[in-house]
Amino acid sequence: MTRLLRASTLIGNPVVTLAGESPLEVKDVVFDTTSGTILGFNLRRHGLLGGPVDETLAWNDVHGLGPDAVMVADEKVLTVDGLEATIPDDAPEGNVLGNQVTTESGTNLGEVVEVVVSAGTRAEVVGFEIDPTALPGGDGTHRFVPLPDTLAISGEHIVVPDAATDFIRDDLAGFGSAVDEFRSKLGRGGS
Amino acid sequence: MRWTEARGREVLDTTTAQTVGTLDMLVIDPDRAAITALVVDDDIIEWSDAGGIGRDAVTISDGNVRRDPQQPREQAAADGTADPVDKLVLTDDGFALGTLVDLEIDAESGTLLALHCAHEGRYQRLEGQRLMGIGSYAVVVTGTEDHRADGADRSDTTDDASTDDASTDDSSTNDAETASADELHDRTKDELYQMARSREVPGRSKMTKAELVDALSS
Repeated sequence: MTRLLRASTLIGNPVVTLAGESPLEVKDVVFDTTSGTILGFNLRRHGLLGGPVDETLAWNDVHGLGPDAVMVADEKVLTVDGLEATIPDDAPEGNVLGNQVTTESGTNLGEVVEVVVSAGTRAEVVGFEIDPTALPGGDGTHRFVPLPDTLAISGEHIVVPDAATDFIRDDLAGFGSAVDEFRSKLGRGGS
Repeated sequence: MRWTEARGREVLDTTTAQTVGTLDMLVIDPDRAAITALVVDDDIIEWSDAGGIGRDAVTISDGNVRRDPQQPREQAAADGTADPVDKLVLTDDGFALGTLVDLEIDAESGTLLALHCAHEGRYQRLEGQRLMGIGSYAVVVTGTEDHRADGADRSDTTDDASTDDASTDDSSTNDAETASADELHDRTKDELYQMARSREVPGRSKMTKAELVDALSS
């Protein structure tokens, strides 16, 4: 069963090496606005008054991601320019958060309020939490939409397959199995 | 033998019958899950130079085997920054398991048999092989099979949190007929939610993990 986390809960989490040291913590999450994925993290010192530091952590250097810590192999992966190097040169300004999610056939589903990631040693972005505008029976409750393997995304919009709406869930706990089902459906359908 | 029992034991030089210090800390190599040295006062005594940790004393046969810490691991053990007791236990996939309360060691061979971890009053025994590192922030252990995609050789097939013999591997089903609260606590919240869904427990999507455990065990 896939365990899921909201990306914003990572903020303030310690970055911990496998040797058990924690030099820094997560200051914010850096998104790739062209794909909706996470490029990495800006870091800061521990504590309420923890000031920002120049060191960053690129997503590929994360060993494991969980609700309580971001694990790295050792302190060497916390570099000053590692993250910068992974940001595409032509990446549009924008944040993924606040993007409008629209189906291929043109139905707006709502605005992205959270990016949802799977925890573990193969962490990845699996979907978005959206504030729905036009879902049937919409009552303002946030919904979770799975991210398909391929996706069209600009600085303002995210386009999802129509099939994504079958797998919308209204709670994070049930979303895990929805992501698995959605992905295997896409795999068989070969989109 | 538990580390908290052995801690503070006298170190006895058997050739002079004199006490040469007390056992303050263990130096553990996570790769081998074994004690490599002892910290006696501020000195290092290699495990191979010691006669083991006896019930009442640690024995050495030559007072000259004491030396200064040389590697970083020895230094961390000697200055106390690598004291595992009361440290946060974190898996290598970022989950906190609890606080380390004790180590279980084989007093003769020096093997680290297990780590004992407590969380909200529940105790969990983790195989010694799972140890990855002891640092100033946390004790890091390997995660459970749930998060291992490629079957690392540290995987153990027993359910680490098992307090009973009905330990399962990661293909455990989601539909336990009747499960004790203990067994339920070992499940992830996702798994509990699925069980609640199959039993149509009302209000399940708003429940915390603890509430799901209550609802499923009553």
